[in-house]
Amino acid sequence: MKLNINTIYQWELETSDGIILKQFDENRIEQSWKQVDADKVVRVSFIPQLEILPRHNIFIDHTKGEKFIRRFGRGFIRQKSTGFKLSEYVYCCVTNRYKFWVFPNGHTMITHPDYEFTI
Amino acid sequence: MVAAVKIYELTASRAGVDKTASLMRFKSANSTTIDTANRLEIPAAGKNYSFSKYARMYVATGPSVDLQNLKAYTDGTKSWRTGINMQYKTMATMFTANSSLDINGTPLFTASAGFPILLGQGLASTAFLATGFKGKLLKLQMTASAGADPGLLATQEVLTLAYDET
Repeated sequence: MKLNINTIYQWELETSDGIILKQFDENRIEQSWKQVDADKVVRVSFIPQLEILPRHNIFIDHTKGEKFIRRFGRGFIRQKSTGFKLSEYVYCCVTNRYKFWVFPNGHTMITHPDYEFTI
Repeated sequence: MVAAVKIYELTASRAGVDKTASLMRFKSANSTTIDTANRLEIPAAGKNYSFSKYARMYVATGPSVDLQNLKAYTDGTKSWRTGINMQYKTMATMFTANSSLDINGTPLFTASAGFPILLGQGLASTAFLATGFKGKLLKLQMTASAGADPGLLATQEVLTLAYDET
């Protein structure tokens, strides 16, 4: 797979009953995170496809009232001098307590769950 | 696969020109070509309207679940010369032939990241699936008013379109 800013990280979910769901299966078919019970998700990982970038693990502690809500990627298409290109992309894990944003360069940001990142 | 979203300049509600590698240029003719023909003239009195244009998202590769939260916005500041402006309207699906009639739209630069143009399907709505043209049509029209500063081509403004994929 060619690495672009929207493919440089891949997600992985783990549930409390031991199911691990990767973004792509062994046949490189993209999976839906909705295949697992969101209430059971205890770990969300963003795994870089370039070794120089850091991996990010988010551990969701149900005993402290934390809960996984959903994940999404947000793309920004901007008109540049050569046309409308995907110019920024952020990966996001949403919990009931915060949003965890991962940028294609490996940087992260943690915000209130109501915060919406824009450029 | 991860969704691949492109911007098209429409020639019909579900057909148009892929603008991945070219810009949108507003002219006094119905044309998607980027050249200096058919310039919008500054009138002696009143206001001249360019031919309208439509922009719409096109999903070339579908998302694993859906697309939501489609938006468009500018930086909120017009950098064109005095008397040159842009207006917009959103259309659910209705495409009407481009013309130089006033679309009676909203000033485009009132749309910023904090107050974007909503192109459809918030989190509470049914989301977009699969491939094809998605979201509302963004209808745009440039205007030139009497007294505008003449010059060369207007400075390129930046339009941002955003989407969430799950």
